[in-house]
Amino acid sequence: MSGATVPFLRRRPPHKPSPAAAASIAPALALRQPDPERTLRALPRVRGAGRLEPHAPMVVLDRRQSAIGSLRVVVDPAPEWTGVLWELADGRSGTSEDVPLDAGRRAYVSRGSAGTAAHYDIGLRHVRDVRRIVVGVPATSVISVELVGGTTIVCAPGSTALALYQHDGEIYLRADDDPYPSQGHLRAAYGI
Amino acid sequence: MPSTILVRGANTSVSKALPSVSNITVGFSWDVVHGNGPATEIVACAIVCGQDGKAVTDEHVVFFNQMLDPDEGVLYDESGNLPGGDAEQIEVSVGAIPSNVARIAFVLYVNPDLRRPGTFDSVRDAVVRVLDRSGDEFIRYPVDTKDKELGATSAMLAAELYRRGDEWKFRAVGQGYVGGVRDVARDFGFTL
Repeated sequence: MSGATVPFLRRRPPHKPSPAAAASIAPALALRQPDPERTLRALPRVRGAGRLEPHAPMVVLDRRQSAIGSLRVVVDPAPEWTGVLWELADGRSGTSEDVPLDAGRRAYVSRGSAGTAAHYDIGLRHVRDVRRIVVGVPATSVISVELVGGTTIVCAPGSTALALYQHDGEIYLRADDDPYPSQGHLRAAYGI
Repeated sequence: MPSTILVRGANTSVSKALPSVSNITVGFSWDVVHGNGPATEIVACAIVCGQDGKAVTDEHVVFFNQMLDPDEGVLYDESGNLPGGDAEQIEVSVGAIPSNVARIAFVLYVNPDLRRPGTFDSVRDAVVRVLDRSGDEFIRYPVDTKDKELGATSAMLAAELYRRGDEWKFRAVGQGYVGGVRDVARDFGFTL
């Protein structure tokens, strides 16, 4: 993996001290700053059944899980509102209302339903085009993820958003339990 | 040197045709018949197999999201600017393949997207070919996707590069898998 920073792990930009202050403290900070790549390597991988909990909200999928077939986000029961946000590597972004069809004439994310549940399918053939996709729901619904190889990942009850990040061909899934009353609040929090 | 045209089941010696060449490129091309819905999306991959015919490890499956095998002998070309009309290319450094590797299987699969993935029925003019370092084609296998049995499938073992004594040979296989890439994974012993 490259030594590039991984900005998506932090939702809000870090506080930046003034240049003078930064110069005075830079050597000390440089010794203590964590290596983001090392942090990513330490994240758990999942095969079979996984769970995202408040104390362990993030997992990483391997390169085959991240790129073969499609990834289905199931929301059960289907809530009164769902916020779906997407951002591509080329900088384009939007909501479920305006997903482009330029990847095999398939939407990067599209909605379906089965029984009481709604689901959102994310095609993985063009996963490297995606930077992040966020699905936000009221805390009354349970969010889970199904992969083509049979792996299922369930978010803890009370989760209000599932964010999918693509970095260097691997998908990182992160559950969030902050309350989002609407898609507008979700957009404001994630900056999409 | 004229290209050797292979039919299904036929083989030819790579080592005899190119005795001084250590790097070869396997190119894949195809046309997809477009309907009104999502396009059938084809993926090329190489599976580096041991003596037992199984992938050496999960990381020995080389495709667009896992571009180099651990032995660094098989490389997916991500340049996106391929000569000769190839849709995808995979390079093999024959000299770098360790002795425990008995063959390299070249597979084409339809991405198993949950939303109308399609089959090879909508694929025309699929070709697998072998090029030398200068880009000259010396083996060509036109895959007959109009064949009724093959057209109904969604993955195929298209060809293989295999050891026979001290030489490397290339065989046109054209064997379909009705269950798609899941069946390929089961057959070659890697996890999705």
